[in-house]
Amino acid sequence: MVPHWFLRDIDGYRFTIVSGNTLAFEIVTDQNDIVEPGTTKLFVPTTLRSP
Amino acid sequence: MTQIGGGAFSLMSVDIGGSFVNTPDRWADHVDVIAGGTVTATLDGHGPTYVHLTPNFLNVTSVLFDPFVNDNLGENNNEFTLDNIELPRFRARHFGPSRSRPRRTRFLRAASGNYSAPGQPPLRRGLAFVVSCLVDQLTQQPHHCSQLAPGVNLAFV
Repeated sequence: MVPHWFLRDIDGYRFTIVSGNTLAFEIVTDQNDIVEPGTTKLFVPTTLRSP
Repeated sequence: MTQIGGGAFSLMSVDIGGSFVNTPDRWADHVDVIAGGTVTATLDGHGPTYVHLTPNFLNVTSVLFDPFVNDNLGENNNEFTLDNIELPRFRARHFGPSRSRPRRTRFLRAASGNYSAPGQPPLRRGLAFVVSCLVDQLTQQPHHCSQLAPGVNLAFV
């Protein structure tokens, strides 16, 4: 069973971390030191898949 | 990635990029996007912009974003970001009563939401702004906190 804090819903869709050494999803925006700074994006440190 | 409540959906295109521009050795080497077929976004050496993929996966029930580790520093180097997930069949109910006519396609963008600890109700429900922080995988400490724009259409479950 996937821990529920590894789930994130965005606008009708669900993203689930299913494996890997990770902490959580993060929504990133207004960052100056990230790819395409200043835009909103989903930060994903590991593998995503449905449960 | 699945549709809440289940069911098939189609993924037309997606942008995949690395994470912090000053630490590209933490980015995934590449990310496979799999749903029957496979398309690949190569991040290593790409630079601080997104790789635009057009998988055109039709009527799938899940999509796997599978990062492959960058072995410069170890097993944690598989960071990547998603943006501009293009899905056909816009469903107006997700956006409230102000939009009554369906669109042919829409972009699913990462957006702000309410933050809460696991198992706890959302904090600051109804407030216009919430705060999110990246968590450094190497130090395990939050950093790069930022205030998100209003327009809650994201929630923990």
